[in-house]
Amino acid sequence: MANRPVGRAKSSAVVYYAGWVTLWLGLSMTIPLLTALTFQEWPDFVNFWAGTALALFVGLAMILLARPAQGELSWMEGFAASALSWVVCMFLAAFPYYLSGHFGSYLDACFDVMSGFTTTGLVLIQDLDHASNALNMWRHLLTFLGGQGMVVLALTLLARSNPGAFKLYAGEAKDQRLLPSVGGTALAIWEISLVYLLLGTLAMFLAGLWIGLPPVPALLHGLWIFMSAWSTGGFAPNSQNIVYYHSLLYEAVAIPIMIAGSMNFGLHYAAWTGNRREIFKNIESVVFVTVLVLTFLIGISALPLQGGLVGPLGVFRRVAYTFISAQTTTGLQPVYAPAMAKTWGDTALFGASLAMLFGASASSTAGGFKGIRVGTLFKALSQELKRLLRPERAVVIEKVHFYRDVILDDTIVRSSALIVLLYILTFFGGVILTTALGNPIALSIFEVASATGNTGLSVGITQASEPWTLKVAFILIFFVARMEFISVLVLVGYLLGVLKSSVFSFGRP
Amino acid sequence: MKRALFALFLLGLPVPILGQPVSVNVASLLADPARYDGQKVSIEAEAIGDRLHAKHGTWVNFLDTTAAVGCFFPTSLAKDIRHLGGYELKGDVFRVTGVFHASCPKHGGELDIHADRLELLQEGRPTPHPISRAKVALAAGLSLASALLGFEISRGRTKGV
Repeated sequence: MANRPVGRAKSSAVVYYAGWVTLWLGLSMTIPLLTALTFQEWPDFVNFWAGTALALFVGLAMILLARPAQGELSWMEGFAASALSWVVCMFLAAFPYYLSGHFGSYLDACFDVMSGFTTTGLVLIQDLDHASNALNMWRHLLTFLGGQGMVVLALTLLARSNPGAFKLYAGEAKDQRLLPSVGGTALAIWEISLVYLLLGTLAMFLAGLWIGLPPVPALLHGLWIFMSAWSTGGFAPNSQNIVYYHSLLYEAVAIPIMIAGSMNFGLHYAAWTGNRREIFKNIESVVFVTVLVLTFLIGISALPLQGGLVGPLGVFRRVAYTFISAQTTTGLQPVYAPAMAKTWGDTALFGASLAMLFGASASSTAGGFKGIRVGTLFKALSQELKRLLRPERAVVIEKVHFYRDVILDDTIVRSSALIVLLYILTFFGGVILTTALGNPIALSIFEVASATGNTGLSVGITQASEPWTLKVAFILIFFVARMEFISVLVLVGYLLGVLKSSVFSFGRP
Repeated sequence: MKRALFALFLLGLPVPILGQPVSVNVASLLADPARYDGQKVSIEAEAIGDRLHAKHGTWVNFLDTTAAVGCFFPTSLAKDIRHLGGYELKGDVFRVTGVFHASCPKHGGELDIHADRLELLQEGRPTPHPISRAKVALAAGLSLASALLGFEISRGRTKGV
């Protein structure tokens, strides 16, 4: 063992940590297992039993075959371990999905799992209206786990030692430290989420009772819609999504949950610890409100001509709601997808696409470019314009308020621009493929913006009958967008490195 | 006039001839709501989910082979729906007749059908959910294998490996 090549030892550490996360996934599957037991949904009980056992088996095998890391993980290992965990968990979490019979293929099941983990919300599930409580519990739990960040929590709770935890944490595209230790930060995020879970579920439960749901369905729907809104996932336990409830009250209760879920956990923590002024001063709050208002104005200026909307209530429930859902990247949809495709018109769809691409806050459950990057780039643009307009000798300093005033420099601007550029390239790649498969350009832009922004609003392109190429492309888009590219690129580089070292070491003593 | 109506019928336009509702599937309503807006339509679909209260009526969602849509009923009429579909049972299948709204003025611009007639076509029935023996064997086998691995790991740790 002492003579093991360095590359192999490092890949061993990556597999070892991914094994612990897989183990955590298996333990999480006991929640739908218990749900099936409670409601006596025996076929799904067996499906989740098999799913739990498979995840535990794979996780334990990874831990047994790999070696614990010696010393602290490198950045590369941390990022690769996070990305690998997500890929392995996708295949395993899809197992009970596939066994349930609600998916046309294993690929479709993987699509829905990755959509859930990444809090996207586009779905290929069939006959959702006859799905079991256990299956719905798993669907919504996946989105809740994925939204909060599952890698570090799994390692914090399960693994005995966790060197280089911040690198794993950052690998999941979260970089906000609320407390000095990453474990403490991960637990603080989960504490915040669990308090919101209790309050939000209670609010949705009461709204459910008010509209006539019996107590048990009211509780289950309340829990699931909370998880969906808070994690900005956009799933619902029925095919009509939020329209199913036909209630202004039910829709309205979900709005503050969506907005809260799309806020940076750092902002929640600041508000919890008494610094409420930060909510109004933070660049991400400013960008959120500005983008929401501007994209809504684009949409509403085009819609009355083509959408046949009725009154201010119609505008609120169908248009404003859609734009809030788009901007928070939630994807709860108050308009039927085919009707939206037919009646909204290109301009309104373009406005909503912009909102989905810009997205909400960094270190939240939301997707998209993120407010901090959008704010940084606009501030940089403003700085350049001022430089051009003022005398050559004038020194132009631009600041961004992100918990403290930060002076813009080239490093900050470049890192923001790089990630936004990668989002845009991914978006255009997706649009080219989607249109090449015969979909209209405006609808393709909307659907791919929804996938790239991890949103979940749909105009009907996403369906079980779509070509497998588009399903695979969308899975990749969900994944790279949620991980903000770097982890996935590192994982690819890492796997190529391991492959290369294996090929070159083949046949050597 | 009759010729004109006949010509329109041949063209496939949904003209409610002599007050007859247009028979349509739900996907068609969702795909082109303006075409059916304000017309009397009928759908053949399964009642699903839950009865939901509303001002002056009750909502029930209906699912056909293509998609689901919300139908608004006078509460007295909604009581005729006995079985609502879900995991455990397939709900009653009805021919639902009513006025379709692409953007309902009474319900916040919702796309809906204000139903005034229900004809039961098929009564709801429990859905069989047989347990697969092969899946039970698979689950048991995987559980055993996981337990062996867990034992192996804990044994290795005890030995300090």
